[in-house]
Formats: sequence, structure tokens, C-alpha cells
Amino acid sequence: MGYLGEFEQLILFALLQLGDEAYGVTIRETIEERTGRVVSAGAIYTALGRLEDRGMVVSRRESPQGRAGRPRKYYGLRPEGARALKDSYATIQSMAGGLIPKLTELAEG
Amino acid sequence: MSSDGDRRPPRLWALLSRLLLHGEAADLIRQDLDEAFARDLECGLRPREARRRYVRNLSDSAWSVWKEGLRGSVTRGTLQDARLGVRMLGKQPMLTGVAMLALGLGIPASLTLRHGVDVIFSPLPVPEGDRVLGIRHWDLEARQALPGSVHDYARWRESLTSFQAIGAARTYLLNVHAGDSGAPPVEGAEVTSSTFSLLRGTPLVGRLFTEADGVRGAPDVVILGEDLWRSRFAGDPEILGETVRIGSRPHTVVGVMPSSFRFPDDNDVWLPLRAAPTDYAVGEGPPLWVYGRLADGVTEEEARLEMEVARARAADDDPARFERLRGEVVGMAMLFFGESEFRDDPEFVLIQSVMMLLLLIVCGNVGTLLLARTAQRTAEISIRSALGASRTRIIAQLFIEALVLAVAATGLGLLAAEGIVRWLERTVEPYGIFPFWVDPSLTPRIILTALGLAVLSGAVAGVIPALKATGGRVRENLQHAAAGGASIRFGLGSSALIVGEVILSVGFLAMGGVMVRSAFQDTQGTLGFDPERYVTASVSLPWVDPAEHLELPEEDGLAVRRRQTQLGVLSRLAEEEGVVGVGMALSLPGNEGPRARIVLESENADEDLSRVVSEAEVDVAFFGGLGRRILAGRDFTPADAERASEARPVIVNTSFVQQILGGRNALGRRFRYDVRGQVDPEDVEWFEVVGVVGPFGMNPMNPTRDAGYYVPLPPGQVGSVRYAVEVAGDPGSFVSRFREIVEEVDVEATVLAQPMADLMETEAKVFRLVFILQVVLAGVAFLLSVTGLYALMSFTVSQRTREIGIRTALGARAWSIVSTIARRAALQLGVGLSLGSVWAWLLLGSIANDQMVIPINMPVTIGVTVACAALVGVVACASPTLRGLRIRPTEALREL
Repeated sequence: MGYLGEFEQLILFALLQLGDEAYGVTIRETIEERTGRVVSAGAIYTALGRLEDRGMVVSRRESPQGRAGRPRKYYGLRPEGARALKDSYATIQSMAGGLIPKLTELAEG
Repeated sequence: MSSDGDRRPPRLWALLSRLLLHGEAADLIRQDLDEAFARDLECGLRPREARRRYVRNLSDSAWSVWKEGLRGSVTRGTLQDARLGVRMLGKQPMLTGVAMLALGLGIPASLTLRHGVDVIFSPLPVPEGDRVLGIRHWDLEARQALPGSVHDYARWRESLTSFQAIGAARTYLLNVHAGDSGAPPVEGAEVTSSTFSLLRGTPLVGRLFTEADGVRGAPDVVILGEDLWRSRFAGDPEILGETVRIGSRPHTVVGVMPSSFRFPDDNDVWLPLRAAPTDYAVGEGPPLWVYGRLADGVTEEEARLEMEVARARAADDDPARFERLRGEVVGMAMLFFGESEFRDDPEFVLIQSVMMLLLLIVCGNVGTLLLARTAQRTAEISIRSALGASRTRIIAQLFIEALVLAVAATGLGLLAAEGIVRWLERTVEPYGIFPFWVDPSLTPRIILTALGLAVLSGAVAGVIPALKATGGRVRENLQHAAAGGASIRFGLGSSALIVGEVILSVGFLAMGGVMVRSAFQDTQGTLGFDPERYVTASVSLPWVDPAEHLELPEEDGLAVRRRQTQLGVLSRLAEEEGVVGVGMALSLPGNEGPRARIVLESENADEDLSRVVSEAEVDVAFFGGLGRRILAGRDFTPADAERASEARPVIVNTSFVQQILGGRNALGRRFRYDVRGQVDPEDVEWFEVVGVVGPFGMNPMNPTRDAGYYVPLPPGQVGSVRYAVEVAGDPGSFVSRFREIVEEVDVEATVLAQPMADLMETEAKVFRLVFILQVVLAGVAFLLSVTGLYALMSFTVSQRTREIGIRTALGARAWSIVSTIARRAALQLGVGLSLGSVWAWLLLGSIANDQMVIPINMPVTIGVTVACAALVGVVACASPTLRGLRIRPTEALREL
């Protein structure tokens, strides 16, 4: 199982969410909307580059549908990436199993 | 309403993004930045806010990209680059050798001073040793430390609350009798009982001193050091309670200290310090080292302040004594070496800075060499760029290659430094120069600093050429590479570096040549005597406490006792079978004696006619006893030692007559110390020449400059004198007999004896080592400048291959081609040599009158140096020039 950092997991979830519309700007917006974290385009692309090198995502260049303009680089989740993300998430879930109420209680103090 | 300009990303930042972002994702990121900006505006964000978000997105992106590039280099490429770096070391052995020599010498050399200071000023190797500090007075007028007195010790112990305990000690050589007659003396110390507790010392066997041991009249007790206990008493487990004779008095052994405890200097025997203020007038008594352990929670600064307050209070009572003093709390090393706090002195900082500057020059040199190597690899670099390697990646690769070189060189340099340090330690050990806590071996701190400097050097020497090599456009470089040329040019900086190095190396070579000739001159036959026939020894009586240890005559006790011992040893030696001659003096033939700056009588006082000559104080029977003939005038008489006459009689050597008096008659000539500007010359006594002797080893390292004079020494005036004994047989076998003779005369007197040739050899070794190191550094500087010239010439040829070929085809003469190739190098060499000879002249001028340096013929020395440097420079240029001359038009045409 390939190890995934937290940011890499966020990106893979964004790819899953966006489907065919996943490219730099949309991925960034999705992460910002859902997590409230501000991320830079550079951080997105360097992480995507790493994931691509590891065979977890695949990219394709094409022009935006129905619009003129420079071609964009769209990204998609490969089975290896999906497996790694599933395993990572399962690990977190199994670790967190039954602990959320306790965690909430501790956090609220 | 917003203008169109407001609806575009900030132009300056958009431009900057081209510099800040690189690599394959750069275009994508820029595209996204623009799109995100447009979307922000579409969402109704104000242009100003959208621009702010754009700038933030850009700067965060740039940071992410650089981090990723760095991570990629580290994780993917570092090992590969390091392997390539190692391969490159072997590929160009000449370049590797020179660069490694330069860095291997440069980095450790730049740290020598810092390491020396760190080592000497390291805290005592006892628990919380940094809280044990020296307490002393500093004389502001004489600018020197004053030894503590028993009164100081008593006052500080009473008044200073910053210290939880205060102790005092004094050291001297002691004769410890263990039934082995003729054994050398032992470093002994008298210490207060507080000393052991404040140093947290615990005995291996037995007990430490108590307050009661320090009371006058208490039974004599001694603590032995482990080394002494094992070597001289065979580690006798029953030693406690045994009686050991020290000097003439029996002492009961009460304890043995472990070998790690050798406080305060390098001591092996401890006696209780029994000096009390009531025994002496104020300010008198034995000189003491006083030290203390800081009380809990007290800082060094607070203790210093309290000490100064205590001094000021003492000045109220006794202004004459304390007004010109300053109370100080200092590190133990400064206490023992009597130094002031010099680490913040501008001079020290300057020397440090100069050393770092030298390292920077070395880095510049290595950088030039690496630039040369990088230039040859333009094709490789350009192709890698074209295949997608980022600039960061290529720079990282070249940096790692330089780093491999620098780290390897530093490692070897440090190994060599450790070897030299060990050798030096062994060499100076007999002199007992360093206290026990000084361990000169390399510390982890200095090794880490050296490696840090290696990384820094790798950055300077690797990254700058790399930036230069990767700065051009890939396509241009590829075209150049295809044409067989290098696209990198030697800039003004490289030229200035080469010229600067030629200048420096001419000066250093000239000085190095003079030094080598001085250090390795054949002194055989010029010393005036054969050291192989002599034994030398220093015989001392300790500074004695009149109430203790020694039985002294009533009148002027100590001086009379010394006189008896010194003259007694002299006459016993003269009677000894196998002894050819014997003389007593403060400094002996073959020893580095003191030097004096003198001025001759009747010379114009306004002119600077002072000369530095050697001085030796000798017993009046010195020349007669050693069979030295008086060549003119007379020998000393016993009356000469009495100082009865107006001028002190002196005997000068023939070199003095030749070098100082210009061969004129010496008898009756007068001279005195040159103290102009310091004290009134009228207060300085005259010396009058009464006799002349031949050369007798006054400056053994450099007999060509051994002008000197001998002054009569009154016996008993000082506690420690030296003897020179000429023996018929082997001097080595006479050493132990010498000790026995002294013991027969005075059981308290200590002897340090050895064959004179051994002593001279040890001194010569250190002297030569220092000179050799200077010469090696000069050689490396020269080698680097020559290599720089070679690199310059090689590149000139490779860059101009096409031009040379065409000109050859058009019928250009060989001379014209040579001029094309060598013009710039010749100019650099010429300028460097010219300015270098001026620099050499200044350097040689500064050492011309040094007593250790042979007489210098300036024009010849500089001429020969410049000629040698020019010859080597021309040889360095020859090979590329010949290569240029061999270029055929067809070769050049192939490149078109």
C-alpha cells in the first residue's frame, strides 16, 4: 500500500468528487470550499506531479469543452490511487472507530 | 468603476512569475493563476482583493515548486550526483589534486586559530568545570596580570561571596626520592585543602588534605598522583602511611589522586600550602594562583562585578597599591597564561577575518577550476536541460559534485591536521608548555565547523560556476557544444583572481624561498662548537618559604644558598672524570636565548640605528671553563659580576664586531638597550666591550646572524641556571650521572638534563615545521594561479578554434596566432609578476632584519622568484598554445 500524506488524500478526494472536470483551478476550489484551507496552485501541481510519478493519477491535455482557450491539463484517479486512498481512509476509520464521542468530549474540554 | 487595467493580474507579479516559477508545471500554474484571478473577479471580488489573492497564490506556488525541486534533488538525485561527483574526482586527477590540496589546506588552516583558542581556553575537565574561575588583579599601567599573594588570597576568601569556595596553589619541581637515584624531578604543587573540594576531586586511595594539614607545624603529608604512584612506587597498595622523602624532608603519604587529576598545571605530587599572611609583609610571599568555584546561581558577570568592587574598596585603604589595578574574574587558562581577554580584541578579530578571507580566495580559486571543468561539460549540461532537467536540478548536481570534492578534501585535511597536532604534542611535551586540560586533538565542534565550511565552500565553488553555466539559453549552448566550443567565458572576476594570485604567490614564493634556505641551512661548522659533545641541564632551587623546607644561612639566606648550590655543582662537574669543560649561564650555546634591541654610543640619536642582537648572561668563568679562547681584550673577572664599575663589562662575539661594528675595533665601545620613547635613556646603564670571542652558538637556527654579547651573571642571583658540560664520551650516558652529582651537592635542587644535540633537534623541528607550512601554503597559492592561467589558455584555444583555423588558412603567421591565444594570459601574467615583485619587496623588507632569516640579497631573490614564476607560467601556457598552433584549417571547416 502506498503511503499518502494528508494533502495528497485531499487531492485524490477532490479528483473523485470532480470526475472529468478535475484540473488545477477546480481541484483548488474544491479543497478550499470543503476544508476552508487556502492552498496554492503550486502546491496542487507539485502534489499532482508526485502522485502521477507514483502511478496514482493520470493526466490528459484538452481544451475546455465548448470554449476557446489554452488547453488545460485534466487529472483522473487511477485504480492504484483509488486503492491507496481507500486503504488510507479505512486505516483512519478503523483507528477512529468508536472514539469520536470521546474525542469530541476531550476537544470541548 | 474599474478600468481594464484593474481587471488584469498585476503586471509586475505576472512578469516575476516567469522568474519564480520553473519546471514543467510552471506554465500550468501560471495558467491557473490567471484563471483563478478571472474567476475571483467574476465572483464579484474587488480587483484589489483579487490581485492580493493572485500575489499570495503566486508566492505560495513558487515556494511549493522550489521545495519540491529541492526534495526531488535530495531524494532522487543526491546519491546519483554523489556517485557522479566521486567519478569526476578520478576523471581529472590534476584538477582534483589541486582543488583538494587547496581546500584540504584552506579549510583546516582557517580554523587553526579558533581551534587553538578553543583548546587552550577550554574549561577544566572536572564536574561543572566552566564554573571554576581564576581570580586576579590586572595591572592597567604595565598591562599584565599580577600573581596573587597570600594576603590577596586571604582577603578574597573573606570578602567574595560570589564564590562558594576559593583555593590557591603554587607549583615547582620537586625531587621525590623513591630509592631510585638519578630520577628526574616531578612537577609538584602546594595547594590549599579547599582546592580538591572545589574541583570535586576524589582520591583513588586514601584521603584529601584537611584544613589542619595546612597549618604551619602540622606533620608533613603528601598526596601522590596515580602515574607517579604506579611508575615509581610500583602501585604499592600499602603506600598509605608510608614515608617518602621529598627534597630533604620525609613526608607521609595520605592519598593518591587518579591520573585524570593533574591540577593545576600537569602535576603529580601535592603538598599542603602553608603560607599564611602573618608570615609576610603585605604584598610579599610566594606568588600564587587563586581560583574559586562560583556559588549556585551566581553568574560570571556578577562575580566580576563583586571582584571589582572589592578591589575598589581595597584601593580606599591602600591607594598606592590598588589604584592602578583592576579586579578580574577570568577563565582558568587566562589565569595560567597571564593573558588578557583578547578574543574580542580588534586585532584578534582582524586575524580571524583575514583567515576567513583567505579561505574565500581559496574557494574562488577552486571555483575557477570548477568553472573550467563545467565549461568543458557545456554540451552535457545543455543536453540534460533539453531533455527536461530543471535548472535547479543541474545546479544541485554541480553543487553536489563540488561538495563531494570539498568534503573529501576537508576529511583528508582534518586527518592530516590531527596527525600534525599529535606530532606537535609529542614534540613540545618535554617542554611542559601546556597545562593538563589542554587536549589539542580535534574536537567534535571543530570537525562539524570544518564540515560546515566544506558545505559552504562547495556552495561558493560549485553553485557560482553552475549558475554561470546554466545561465545561457539551451539552444545557444547546444549550438556551441556542437561546434566543439565552450559557451562560458572567463569574466573580469576570474581575470582579477588570476592576477591577484600571481601577485600573492610571487610574494609568498620569495618569502618561502628565503625561509626554506634559512630553516634548512647547514649549520654544521658555523655554530662554533660541536653540540654532539655537550650535555645541557637546568638546575633550580624552588622559591622557598623561609620558614619551611630549607635550612638557610642567616644573612641574605636564599641568595647565599643558591650561590653555594650553583657554584658547588660547577666545581663538582669540573672535577668529574670524563668532563672536558663546564660552563654556567642563563642561556647556553645552542639554545634560543633572549634578544635585545641595542643602540651604539655616539651614533646620531635621531637616526634609527637600533639593532637586535642576542644576549647571554654567563658566569665569569664561562669561557675559561669551556676552553673558549678570548680573541681580543680580556676574559671576565670575578669583580665584573659585582657591578662595581660605571659601565657593565661585556664580551662580544666576532659576528657582533662584523655585523654591528662593521669590523672596527670593538674594545672600549659602549652600547645600551634601545629604550627611546619608553624611559629616559640617561637612566639606562651602559655596556662596555672588554673582550671578543669566536662564534659559540648564539643563534643556533641561523648562525649567519648570531651577533651577540655576553654579560657577567652573579651566582645566586636567580634560582634557576643552566650548565653546559662538554664530555669526552657519550653525552646521553652522562645525563643520569649529572643528576647524581647535583643531588650530592644539594638534595633540594632539581635537574632537567639532556644531550644538547637532542634539545637543539627538537627546537629545530618546530622551527622548520612552521616554515614548511608557510612554504606549502605559498606553493599552493602559486599552483592555483598557474592552474588558473592554464584553464584560461585552454578555453581561449577551444573558443577560438574556428577563428584560428580560418586565419591559418588565410596565411597568418605562427607569431600572430600565438599572440591571439596568449595575449590575455600574458597580460595577466605580466601584470601579476610586476605587482608581485613590489609585494615581494615589501614582504622581504619586513623580514630582512629578522634574526631567524639569512641575509637577503633583495634584487637577486626577487629576480630569481619572478623568473621561476614566469617560467612556470609560460610552461602552463605552452600546451594550449601548441594545441592552438596545430589547428588545421580543415578542422575549423568541419565545425562550420
